[in-house]
Amino acid sequence: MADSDKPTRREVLRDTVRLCGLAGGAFALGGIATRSEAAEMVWQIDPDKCTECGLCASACVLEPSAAKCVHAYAQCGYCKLCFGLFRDKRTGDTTTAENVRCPTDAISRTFIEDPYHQIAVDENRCIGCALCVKGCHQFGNGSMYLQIRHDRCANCNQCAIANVCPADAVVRVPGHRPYMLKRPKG
Amino acid sequence: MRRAGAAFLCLVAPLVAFGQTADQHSQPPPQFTDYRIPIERAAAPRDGSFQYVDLALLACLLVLTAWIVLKRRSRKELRIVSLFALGYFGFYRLGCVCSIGSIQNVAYAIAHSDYRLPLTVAGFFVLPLLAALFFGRVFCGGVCPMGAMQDLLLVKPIRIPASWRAPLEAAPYVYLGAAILFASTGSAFAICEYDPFVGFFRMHGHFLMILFGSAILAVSLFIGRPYCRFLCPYGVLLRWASVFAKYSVSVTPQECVQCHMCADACPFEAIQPPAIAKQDRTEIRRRLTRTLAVTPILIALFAFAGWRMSPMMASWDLRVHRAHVLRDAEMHPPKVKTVLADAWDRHRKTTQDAYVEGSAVEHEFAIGAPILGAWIGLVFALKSLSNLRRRGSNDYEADSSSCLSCARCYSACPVPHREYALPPLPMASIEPPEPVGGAV
Repeated sequence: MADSDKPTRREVLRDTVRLCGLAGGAFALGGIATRSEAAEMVWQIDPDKCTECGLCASACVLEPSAAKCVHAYAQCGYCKLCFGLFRDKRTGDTTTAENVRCPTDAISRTFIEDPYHQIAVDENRCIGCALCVKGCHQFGNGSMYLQIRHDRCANCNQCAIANVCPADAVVRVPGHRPYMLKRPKG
Repeated sequence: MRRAGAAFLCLVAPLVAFGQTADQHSQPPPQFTDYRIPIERAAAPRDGSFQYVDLALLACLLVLTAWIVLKRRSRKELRIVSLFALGYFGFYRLGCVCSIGSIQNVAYAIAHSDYRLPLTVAGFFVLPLLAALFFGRVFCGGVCPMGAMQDLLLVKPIRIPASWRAPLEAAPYVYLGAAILFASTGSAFAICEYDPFVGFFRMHGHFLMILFGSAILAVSLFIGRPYCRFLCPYGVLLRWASVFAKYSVSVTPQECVQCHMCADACPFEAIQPPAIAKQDRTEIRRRLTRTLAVTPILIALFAFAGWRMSPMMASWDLRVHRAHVLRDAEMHPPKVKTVLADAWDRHRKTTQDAYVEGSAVEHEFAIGAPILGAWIGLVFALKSLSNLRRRGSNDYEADSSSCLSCARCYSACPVPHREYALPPLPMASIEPPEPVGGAV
């Protein structure tokens, strides 16, 4: 009965540890909340480094990949024979449906005025395979490029795409500027 | 400094790139008569609003689980809570952020002062531990989606022989040490990468990981929560915290009738039988001195092994691997330049840069790997003492550090629990146990 009145040594020890734990936890959370000078980092594809290898489509932990094609209109040449859209077939008709590069038919074009056609990428269909990026980069202005979409990206501690990227093109960027967009100078 | 440089490069690179590509490529900007070049839709930013919902839900679920396990003592209600947690944290939030993985972020944040630990991750690390300090491992019982997945599948628990259990139970400690080493060097986040269940949550994953996850789920039909008990590194921390739990599961609210039924019902072998005979003191002393003598030898042995293995462990790091690949390419130039070497050149970095980066990581491993080895040695030495723990009780009691708060034992206990809620009977001989539920 005396035990219930006076705490034993063991109980005092436990209470102390608990108190320390509580204080430590509060301290840690407070410290983290105020340690704000460092920015939260997110993953992004550096379009300058990207070699269009196509691993973005398969390496991402998400299905479909968080990497998707972005089209910089201001850089686009509005080519009639767009190699982002069509395969670079040197003979025969190249602007027919059989020759479309994109495996998911995510790229569409609309006629503007002779000879210019506008290209648009349907992000919902894009799987990030980089076939169009390769075509556009090789024969065009490089206006199509891959970016990791942050409305999809799980922001893994170690990006699975970065693990396999042969050109070391997946880099960490500050969370408040999460995209590396191609923009005209000035 | 290196990171700051990298960030700067990241910001500036696209501008430089544009200049280059516009020069290199042929198509001139079109001259339209009446067409304005559209500006691409601003890419969606990262949605951070869910973070606070996650954190608030975690806190609520921890308190709710504690209330159900300790006060309501209801397995049925707990099952509903854990199903909800499985649905929300697992399948809806795709198993990320999770407390188990948060260990790595905390380790990385401690090692790298330029990394800011996100508040959610910090909360997911701290809150379950705080809950364990007060209510035991309620996180495991009702909140962890990975635990829920295994627990809900358990149909026919079979007992694991004690001789098998001891080495299996050492595995989480080893895993914890290794995960901290690889995360703090920034080499790999093994807990995330080798998470057996996240593939199910995302409905997509590496084939081998899905196979591993399926194997664990198949095993958990017969062995209670194999991942939680024999792998989970966060369970180690929870185990330590819950030793100090203020309120933890107490099987019977009244006098234990020593019927053994709760121990049979517990699929995790967490209920300790009463200490019938006191262990021989001289025997205990002998084992203690033997262990104390062996411990330094084991620690030294494993630390040496860790030191020997540190180059191998470092070579798993991407930066070290890159340095080796570039050096090889420099010494034996291949006919076709590799993509990596080409990319490295384009950014005007030399092999020396890669080398400096790689050797810094190798240096970190040269320190970290022996520490990991020493830790493993210590774990093995102390594991042999695990059955020497002092057990003061004369009743069947849940061991708060290994009890996963699943609430199975309550219904197994034949002592009527309803009376617990009634005013205490005037029986001096029956001393009510610690006010487990009542004080919550």
